[in-house]
Amino acid sequence: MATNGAGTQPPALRNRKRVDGLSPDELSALRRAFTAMYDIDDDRGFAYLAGIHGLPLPISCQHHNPLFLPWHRAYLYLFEEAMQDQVAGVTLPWWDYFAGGDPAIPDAYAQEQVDGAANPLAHGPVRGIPQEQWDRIERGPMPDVTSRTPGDLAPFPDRSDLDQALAAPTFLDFTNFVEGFHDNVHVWVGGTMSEIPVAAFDPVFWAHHCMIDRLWYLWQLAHPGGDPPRSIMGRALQPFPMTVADTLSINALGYEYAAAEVVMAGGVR
Amino acid sequence: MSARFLSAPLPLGGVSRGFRRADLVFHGLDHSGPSYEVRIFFNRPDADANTPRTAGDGYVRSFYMFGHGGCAGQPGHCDVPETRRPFDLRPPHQLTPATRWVTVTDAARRAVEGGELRVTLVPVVTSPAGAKDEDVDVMALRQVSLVTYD
Repeated sequence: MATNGAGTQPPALRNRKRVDGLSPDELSALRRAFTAMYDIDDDRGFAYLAGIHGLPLPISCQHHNPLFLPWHRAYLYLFEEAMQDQVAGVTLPWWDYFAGGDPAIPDAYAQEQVDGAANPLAHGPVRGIPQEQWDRIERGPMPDVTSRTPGDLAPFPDRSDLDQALAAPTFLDFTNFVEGFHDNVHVWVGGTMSEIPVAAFDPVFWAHHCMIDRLWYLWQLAHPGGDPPRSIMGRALQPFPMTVADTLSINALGYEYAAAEVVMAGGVR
Repeated sequence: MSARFLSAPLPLGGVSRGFRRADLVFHGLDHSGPSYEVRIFFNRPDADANTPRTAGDGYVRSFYMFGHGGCAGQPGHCDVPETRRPFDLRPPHQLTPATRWVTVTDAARRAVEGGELRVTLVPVVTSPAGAKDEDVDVMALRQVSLVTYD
């Protein structure tokens, strides 16, 4: 629950909302934040932050081990902080891909044009990868921007995969199942998202991982004390200035998950 | 087509019929290369990438491995050390082979009732690099187990 920032009370938590629940102003702020970060070529910019996950070397992301959820929570937290440095109050939204209906990239990310201009959430620029590193992974010409081929490489994960994950009794069981359909969604989106070296350059990567982070939060709420193994609690999440233990409380990181937020007009009479 | 895994017939005599959950556990999955799908078939030793993904054809389910995408470093950069020195406090190598499990309870019950289980795993590379990976053992599995929970 949010708290008021006035007086001695703690500052308000920021709400991460469902993509489809963003107001026009919130969506506009999200687009402005990505656009601003695209234009920065130092370590505050999109290329630097997206490159932490994959290329350029070192590829720092953690997959297929118990650091998967903590590492990506730290990653999203620091990316969101960088976004807020550009546009005050902006938050990452989550892609609610089990909401029902046919699987699809959210409109906010799928529309090529917005108000007559290119939608910055439809494609991200791929920059900052040394040519010799790209050549070694033998993927043909390096793309200038990200691309997607939704549904061409895999069917979408089933809702039962989510139910199974949320019912998992332990952290290791949960992370196994949630990473399973996480991998499936990456492959379903296809194109740039389908492989680690460039996946984070696609703007929808951040909405996908926000959903994964939210699911971990929901699972945590239902499983108090369901922490990662004690043996990794003090592990540094390179290159971030955080340990696994630092990621366990999203409220300590200043955010929570909501479906939407409607600000009420009016005043004291 | 990438190299398949075909199990020998699993001895099911010691598996009670009343289990509430059954997992297939995959030990030592490689994730250093392209992303790939693994299609699981029960009692369908001839299954391949062209076999329909229907229960009638022995298909159980799939899982996906999000691949590291190959080595962008110089030779040896992505080699996973076989041993660790006692005072090597660095994190484990990022490409340490993975363990993944998938739940196959209903299919396992049917197999136990039938008294026989052979598992066929058909990997299908899902990345643009797949075409050049023909016949490569992308999974590099060390072991597959059926684990049941009463």
